[in-house]
Amino acid sequence: MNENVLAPTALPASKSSWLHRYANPGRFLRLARPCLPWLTAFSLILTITGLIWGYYFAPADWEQGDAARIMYVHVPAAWVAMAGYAALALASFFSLIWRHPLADIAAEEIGPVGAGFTFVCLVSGALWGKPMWGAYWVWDARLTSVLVLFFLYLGHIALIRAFDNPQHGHRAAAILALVGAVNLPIIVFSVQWWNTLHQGNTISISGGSKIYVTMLYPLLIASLGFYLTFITLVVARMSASIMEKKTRNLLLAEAERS
Amino acid sequence: MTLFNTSQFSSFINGSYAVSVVFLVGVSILTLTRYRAATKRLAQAESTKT
Repeated sequence: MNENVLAPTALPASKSSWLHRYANPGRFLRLARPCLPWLTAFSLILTITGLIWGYYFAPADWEQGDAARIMYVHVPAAWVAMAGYAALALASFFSLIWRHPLADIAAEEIGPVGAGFTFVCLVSGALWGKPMWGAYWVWDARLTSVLVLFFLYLGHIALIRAFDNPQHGHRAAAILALVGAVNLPIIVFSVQWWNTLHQGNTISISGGSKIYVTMLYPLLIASLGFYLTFITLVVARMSASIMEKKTRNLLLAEAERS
Repeated sequence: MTLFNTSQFSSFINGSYAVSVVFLVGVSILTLTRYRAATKRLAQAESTKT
């Protein structure tokens, strides 16, 4: 394959720009190390609180009964799955345009974590669907678009590792991630664009949420916990990846010297 | 507040929470193990260099 096709020249960026300053893996590592224990603590507290509140103490839904408790894992997992893909697309954009080494590392580490959250969303959704709809799975627009999101994550994970030259893998996977980002608005608006079995949006940022506060609070706490868990996992994986690369470079330099 | 005890849906609810907890605990352990191993190997490589 032509080298120039997969490795185009990066756009120049000012050295003083914040993008360049924070794209330095060494600086990221220095910033991440002290933050990780705090991130871990807050993730644990919020996730455990949200899940226990939703499982034991939140009221049953007037229509769906106790099955609505699945919402406290299903909805946060779905939100994180979509936010994770948005972050993946953003990292891919930075990787393609400015060739940030940190963006490539971020994209590589977001993929498996995001795929995991999407898997949890699909499984918990299927377990909610069976008692409510009488079927684990229907080819509904919302369900199908989330399944496509899961396949996009898997495709990204596979593609990034499919080339002998890692840079080619990152370029190809970044293009896939950016093209796949078109699926995000489809997931969000699928319940409005098509007549779906999946219920419509219950929570709205602009107001008018159709959920009572005794159910909203545990849902928001669990969601915040899942978001923080996602961030913690990605930051820890990125830090580990940077350290692994640094170790490899040190050992190679040592081997060349000797 | 009501306390959730038993329900005709309990197997589905328990299954959903089990999948989530197993995933969260599993991925956290794997990440922690990788992070600690990377930290240890880097420290060893840096001490060898010096």
